[in-house]
Amino acid sequence: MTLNIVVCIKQVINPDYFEGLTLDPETGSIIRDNVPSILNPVDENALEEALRVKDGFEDTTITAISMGPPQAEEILQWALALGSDQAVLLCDRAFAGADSLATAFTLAEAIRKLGTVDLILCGNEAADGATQQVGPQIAELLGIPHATYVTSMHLDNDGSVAIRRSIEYGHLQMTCRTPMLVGVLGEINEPRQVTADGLISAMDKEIITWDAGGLGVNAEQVGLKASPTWVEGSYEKRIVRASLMLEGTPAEMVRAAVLTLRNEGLL
Amino acid sequence: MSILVIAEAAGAGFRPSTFELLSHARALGEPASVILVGDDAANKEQLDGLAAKVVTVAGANLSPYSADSWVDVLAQAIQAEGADVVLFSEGQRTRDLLPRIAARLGLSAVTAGMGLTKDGGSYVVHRPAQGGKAYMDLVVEGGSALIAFRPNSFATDAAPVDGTAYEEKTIDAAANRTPVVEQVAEEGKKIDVTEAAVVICGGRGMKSEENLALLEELADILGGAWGVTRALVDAGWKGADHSIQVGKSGKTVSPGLYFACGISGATHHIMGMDTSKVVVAINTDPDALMFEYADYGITGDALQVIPEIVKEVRAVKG
Repeated sequence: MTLNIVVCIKQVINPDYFEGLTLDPETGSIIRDNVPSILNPVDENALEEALRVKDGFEDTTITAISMGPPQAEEILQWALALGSDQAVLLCDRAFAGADSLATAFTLAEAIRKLGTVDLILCGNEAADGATQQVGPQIAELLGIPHATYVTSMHLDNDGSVAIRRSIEYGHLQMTCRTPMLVGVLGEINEPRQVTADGLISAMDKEIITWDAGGLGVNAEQVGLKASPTWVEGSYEKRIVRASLMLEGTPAEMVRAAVLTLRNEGLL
Repeated sequence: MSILVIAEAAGAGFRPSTFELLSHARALGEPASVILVGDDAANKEQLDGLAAKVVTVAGANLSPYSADSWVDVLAQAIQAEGADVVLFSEGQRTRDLLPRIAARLGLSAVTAGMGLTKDGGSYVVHRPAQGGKAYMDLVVEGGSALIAFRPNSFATDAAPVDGTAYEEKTIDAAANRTPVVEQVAEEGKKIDVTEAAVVICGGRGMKSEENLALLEELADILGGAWGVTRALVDAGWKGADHSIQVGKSGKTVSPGLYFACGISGATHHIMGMDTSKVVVAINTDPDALMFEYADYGITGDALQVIPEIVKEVRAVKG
């Protein structure tokens, strides 16, 4: 069985640095200067799942794809070193400022351009935006089914895919077929490490870069221009809490807290 | 002006958030129309007086829930109703459906909503932005957006309406390419931590897995749910399941009252709870970062303080 797998990955600000981030007072957007970036954590699990399929089906081609600035090449290099066969960077100033649907459109057009795809894997959510929208929207634009919150996946010889997804009260077991898009949770697998051999083999692999022209889309269809204007909302600072430290013995502090919470109608 | 609510069933009724959305629509002077799909319609009479109109949608491949067929049917039903804003309850099912319906209908998808007001002919959605660093007010023009709201965002006490109209529809989905073959309810996943009005969360200060029973005890007497930090899930403590992990890589909670028990206040945890209305922090370290995100701080050992709270609550509640 010949398989073509696309893994959508994203470079995000290292979540460990979220605390120190500052906002541009004019636009409300994050000032990203001097903040380290990493591969979105759960995207590692998406890559790992693709590599496991390839472990089982030798004739598998894995394409890692990312939309982002030139430095997003770093995460694509990483994907190649892990064992992806090729990588595509979607990079154009026109792509900037995209909301989830404009992002999904750009990625979907790139996947179309790659040709036949059996399986699209992505992390269930990005550590920065956390909208969880791009995966299902890519699937919609490509007209294929999707599954989100996936904790287990097994692809069979006949193209059927057994999926287990998490839901609030437990889980659902589904039987789907390729082509489809799967959004994975971190618990689906334990990602492998990059090996020295992997790093060496990555040197022979190519990162293809497509801009809007290369992708065959016009600037009106992508980026900020294709995103609704209401993203320019008005911003305010986060809630400042009272941080009132109670005093006395544990029993006295608890008595004061319970009294206050009762007065506020919370207990 | 018109509001459409996509209801979500749970147990022998609906998610509390469904009642919140319907109440808030009434409070805005726009009693909602509500759509119930498949098995969600089983307890529709519970919505009597809470909505202007209840539309139940039956059809092939709608039971049990499947993203593929539900997207198809909901998109058609939403279009037929033609509302100014369409409200969903935040949750895994909504995250599965909403973005795809939005893409199909060419609408904006807004998630993590916490407030909704009217401004002339538009609606304004209050929501956290930039990973919880700020709040934003989005102006949503009529007919342009699907919006998901976090549980515990609205009161449920708006006056009922006189007479709810009922309408039944049949819509067959084009296909069901993601059929569910088995639904499994898991032990310990009964009260969802995202839905609870009171959340008791424990961190490393709980010291060992046996002490998680303290969280459960306090949650039980307050009618809430308990959760844990990532540290406890990573440590593999029994009962510290990922499904109750509060934080960036787990659940986002927004309860009326949040107890942080023995939690240092790492950023990934704060991002999962910082829209809680009132926060009480308990920690032995008076300099713990968690106190900066708390309304009330108790310096002390959570293992001693929690039983005191249980005792005190029992005393005042009788």
